[in-house]
Amino acid sequence: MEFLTVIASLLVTIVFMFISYYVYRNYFYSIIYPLNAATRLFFISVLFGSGITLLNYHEAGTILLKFLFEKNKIGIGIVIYCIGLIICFGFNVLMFRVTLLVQKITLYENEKAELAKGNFLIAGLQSITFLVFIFTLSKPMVQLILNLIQV
Amino acid sequence: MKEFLNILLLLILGIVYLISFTKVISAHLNKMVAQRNNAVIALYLSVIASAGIILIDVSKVISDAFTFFYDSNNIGKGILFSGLFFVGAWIYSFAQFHLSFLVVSLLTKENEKTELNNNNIENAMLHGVVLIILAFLVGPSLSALASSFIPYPELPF
Repeated sequence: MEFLTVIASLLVTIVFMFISYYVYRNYFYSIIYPLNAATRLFFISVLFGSGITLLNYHEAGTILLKFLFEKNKIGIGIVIYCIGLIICFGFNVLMFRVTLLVQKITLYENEKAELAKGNFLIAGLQSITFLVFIFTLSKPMVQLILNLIQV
Repeated sequence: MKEFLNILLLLILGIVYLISFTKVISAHLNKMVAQRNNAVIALYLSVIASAGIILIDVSKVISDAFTFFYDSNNIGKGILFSGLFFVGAWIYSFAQFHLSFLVVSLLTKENEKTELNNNNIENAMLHGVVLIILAFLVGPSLSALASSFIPYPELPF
């Protein structure tokens, strides 16, 4: 069981991070290609934040999978786990959009044009805002998913 | 429903906190320096990061307070407590920003306004590190203090 958990964790992480990378890449490549240092900073922060959400969810998700495996309901466990992953992914995209909205309200500047110019102030502020949202909200979000599973 | 409301409350408070704090600090730094050089940007980002660390710590207590009052059928009190903790965290972050100037002036014996105007990145980074360490150290104590105001029922043992 532990061996299977390690393999499953590895697979889930690779798939989740790859999908996150490809989804966010489109946004960043629409700003500038190849990416400059400021855009890279924000891109890396977004991927890091996505990983944090996955980490928080995975801790609870693994316990759920183990529980359902012992009850011979691993199929249902995998389906529920995958639904939770999709919710996590949606949450990350939502937080990314909220970050862009917050920066628009705060700075009144075209963030894409500023990132293309390599403005570190904008990139830093966006990175901090996104990470603050992720660290503040990812645990309550995991609680919400677990509550939905119980229902 | 409870969890969803909790996330919504934290999201709204988080947005208000970051927008208001960023704007206030930006206005404050604009008064202090003639132009935004790299040193000012480094300090500005550190201030926002330290405020974010405080918010992350206090958000756990806000979440606990809201859940507790929601379970006791007292959502109004839950929102009130959350708002008060949020205001407290905001005020502390702002006070910490001002206090850090005093700490840095004691450490370096330099006039920080002049150094920031001269684009002294070393000084700005030192200030940033002081701020972030203060936030990491004080954040948990601040959330413990906030938690002590929640009227949890006393256990009989």
